[in-house]
Amino acid sequence: MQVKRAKFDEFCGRLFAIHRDLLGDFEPSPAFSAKVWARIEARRRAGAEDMDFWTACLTEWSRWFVRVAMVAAALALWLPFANDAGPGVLETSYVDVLIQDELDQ
Amino acid sequence: MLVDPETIVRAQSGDDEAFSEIIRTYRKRILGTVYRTISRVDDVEDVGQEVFVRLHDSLRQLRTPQVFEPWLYRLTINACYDYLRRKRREIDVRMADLSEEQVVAVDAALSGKKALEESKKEGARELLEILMSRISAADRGLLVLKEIEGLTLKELSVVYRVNTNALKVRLFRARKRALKAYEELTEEARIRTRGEDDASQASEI
Repeated sequence: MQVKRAKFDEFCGRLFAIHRDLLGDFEPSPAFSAKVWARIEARRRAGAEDMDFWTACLTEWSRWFVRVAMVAAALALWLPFANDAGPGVLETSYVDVLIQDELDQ
Repeated sequence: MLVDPETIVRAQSGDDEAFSEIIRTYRKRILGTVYRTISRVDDVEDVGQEVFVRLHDSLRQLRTPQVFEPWLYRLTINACYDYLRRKRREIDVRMADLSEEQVVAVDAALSGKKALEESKKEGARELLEILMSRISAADRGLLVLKEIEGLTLKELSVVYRVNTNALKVRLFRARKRALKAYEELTEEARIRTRGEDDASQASEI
């Protein structure tokens, strides 16, 4: 077979060149650009609808996230002192505690 | 490059007129690449439109307009892969129609000794289409870009995001597989023709 004597690259070059000649060029239809734009517009519309939905979801999730974060922060401040027998952090400042210590002595 | 980088930058910033110019400039080239990769005239425009829609969606991700063309080829080849993957089961291979005559005609054209005669072109085209359907989508895309579109190794390395040495290896393997597919196909056609000849002789006796 002839092809066995040819090098790979030469063979492929010729093979694809023949294939190209046989297929010829492809002429786009006059409406090609219009069809592309129609598809882009359709995707834009679909994308806008999706965006509305996801924006709404994101807003709602953000609100809940802020609420949960605030509760968690409050708990984090309160928990270390929850079992403390001494004055609460909101009731007595550190200076007051020092003064009290001085008086005790 | 067929369009100036400024047009690409304008298209990236959302200028529809600039994008229309890109479509007008590249449509014939892209449709040609799609046609040669998928070999199905009915679906070429559909895949071509998909390429430009993907381009519109992702153009802002392009950082340097200088590599626009290889980047567009990557989108084209990816769209062709997707199409071929979807249609793999639908491609009808008309092996029964193949004959040794077709093989001889293509062999002669491949050796460069003889141009294809007008009457044999349709048969040769059928044979090559069956051959192309036997070459994997990845090999086919790579070989179309290299052998037909004439991309350099440097441009291909941008398309495939690999270095030129890795590309050389890929090209060598793709060519080797194409050669093997061709040999298998021609052998099958010869065996089939002989089988048919034997059968017709037996029926005459």
